[in-house]
Amino acid sequence: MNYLIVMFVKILKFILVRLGHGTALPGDIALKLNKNILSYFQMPKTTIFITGTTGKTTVSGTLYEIYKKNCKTVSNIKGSNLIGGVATALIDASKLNGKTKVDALIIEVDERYVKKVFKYITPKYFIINNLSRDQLARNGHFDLVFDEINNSISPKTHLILNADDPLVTKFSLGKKNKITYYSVSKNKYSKDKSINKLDLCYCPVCNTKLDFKYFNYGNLGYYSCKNKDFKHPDTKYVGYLDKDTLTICDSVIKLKNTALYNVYNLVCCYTLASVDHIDMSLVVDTLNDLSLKVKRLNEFTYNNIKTTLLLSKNETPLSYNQSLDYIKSKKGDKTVAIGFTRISGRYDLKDLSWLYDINFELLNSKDIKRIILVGPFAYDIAVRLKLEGIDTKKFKYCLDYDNSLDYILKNTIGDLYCVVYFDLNYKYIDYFKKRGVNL
Amino acid sequence: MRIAYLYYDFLNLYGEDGNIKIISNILKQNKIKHEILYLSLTDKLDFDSYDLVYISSGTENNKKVALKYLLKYKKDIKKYVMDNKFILATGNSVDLFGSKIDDIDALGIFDYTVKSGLRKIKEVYINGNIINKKIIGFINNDSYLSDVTYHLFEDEGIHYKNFFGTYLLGPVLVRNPEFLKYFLNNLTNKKLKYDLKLENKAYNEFIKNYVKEA
Repeated sequence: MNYLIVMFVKILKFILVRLGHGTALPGDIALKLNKNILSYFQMPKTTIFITGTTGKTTVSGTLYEIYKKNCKTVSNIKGSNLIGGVATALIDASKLNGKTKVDALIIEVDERYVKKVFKYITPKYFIINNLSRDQLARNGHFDLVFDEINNSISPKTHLILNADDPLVTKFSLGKKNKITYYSVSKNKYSKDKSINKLDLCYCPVCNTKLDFKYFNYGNLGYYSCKNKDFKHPDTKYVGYLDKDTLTICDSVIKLKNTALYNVYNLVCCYTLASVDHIDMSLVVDTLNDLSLKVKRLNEFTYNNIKTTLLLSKNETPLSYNQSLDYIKSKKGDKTVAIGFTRISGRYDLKDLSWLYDINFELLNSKDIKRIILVGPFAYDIAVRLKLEGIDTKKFKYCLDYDNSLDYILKNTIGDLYCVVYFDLNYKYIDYFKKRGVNL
Repeated sequence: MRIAYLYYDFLNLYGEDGNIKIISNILKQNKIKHEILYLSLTDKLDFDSYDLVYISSGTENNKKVALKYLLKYKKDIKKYVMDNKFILATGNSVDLFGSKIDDIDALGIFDYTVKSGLRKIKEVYINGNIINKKIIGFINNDSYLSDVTYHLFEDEGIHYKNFFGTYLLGPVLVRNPEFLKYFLNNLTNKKLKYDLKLENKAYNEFIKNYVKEA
């Protein structure tokens, strides 16, 4: 029966891909036909699963680039990270009889789907890049996400954990798994105090307040509990950032994008590859190559306006703050456009509390001459910015989001930064493409 | 005026410091001197010296840990409430003030008991009771109250003397300008001046766009 399902789905995918579809759907159909289909597949020699609030697509994409040069590899990087996407990748990686035909499988999994996938699959390696408040109206909160993941980790899996994130290190408590940590040392971006809301700043064992020597970003930094119940683990996999050079265990990687989230992703990939005994010269060459090729956001000049599109995830402060940090780091007069037409693409719940977990005080700056608020929540965003003491005379409103870009361009002073959610980002990219911008 | 923000670094799940920020901004505009005490779990609390205590949502685990620390001040908190002093509790921090959370003893300021286990995630549009406007907000919570005599809003929360508790999470005061005015006028016992044009626009736009019956 499973044989037939796999055959049917492989044919279906062949057709769908030619029609421009086919990432989650074939897997979803296979799961409809047999909800336990994931247990049918033999796992290849190396299985790497990746989860976390941010960076999982980049990490899995980078690992895929490394592994495919080394061995036959399948991944879901172009597909979905829900259970259907995982099933599709497994079907791709397997023969009709369920036997694997690849050497490595690299899978990005949404945090909430780890439980469902690990019911059937025990990966060799499991990477957790970070965990922070994210889509609370969907996830409840990070403790629930933590418990779900924690309860589904098999003792046989080798964990690759971000030592700088206490919420990730917490996964080590009470476990006998093999664990390898990675970390990024104190650097030019590090701060003594975090301006972010912290998701974990008390010891998870004894509840005393953790001592943070410094923060790299968000909740990530160097921490210890004074009762010695919990501390930042030591590791040899530490990334040292100096100007545009990243050094890990004597390997040197040149960076075009020195933003810390990018540095963490690279250190994470290096660590996994090293632990899995991949030829390090190949790893370093690939990381160097990717790191230089990486496209810097969407930056271009249109009608003499230097424009940057910063796709920003609503409800994920860690990611949203990166956009605001980036704007703050740029010189010159600026106009910032902020907006979204809906809060989530996944559900229709209008929780606005996440706006208050974002560091909008970063926009309280003389360089910013104008702030254009777009979409049905324009006034809600304005009220949030006002709380940070930003002069409301700088605000302009465009509730009609369909024609918002015309309005924004007409009202821009200086360089333009658009901090927008997927829904508007697509529209804006489309607008610029139609007008000859090469994106 | 001394404002105690209880466990700003532990019960801080849904951007609830927005409420503290707007209170502070309005007191500043009205030239009312005030101090905000950002308090951590292990800080010593001195309820006699506070004029307002604000406490907000945490994860279920953090809520229980916070309870352990607060139980030391059970008598002080009871006296504080009975003396007509102000507490604003948002989100699941309301649970702490009842008699029991499941089978654990809570602060026992009120008789209600709390049962946990079924998470409710929903938008809310309900009567304001003490004010003439509807209240907008959001609930993301896994506990229920039983036997509440005095609801703060339509069918939820608790209002007793100057204890204002609501399961609405996040920036409740920012999103409901009329409730903000009511609360602050009572707290200061003055008719304060407000510039809430933007806040009112946000409130009205939200109702116009997303509330069906309006």
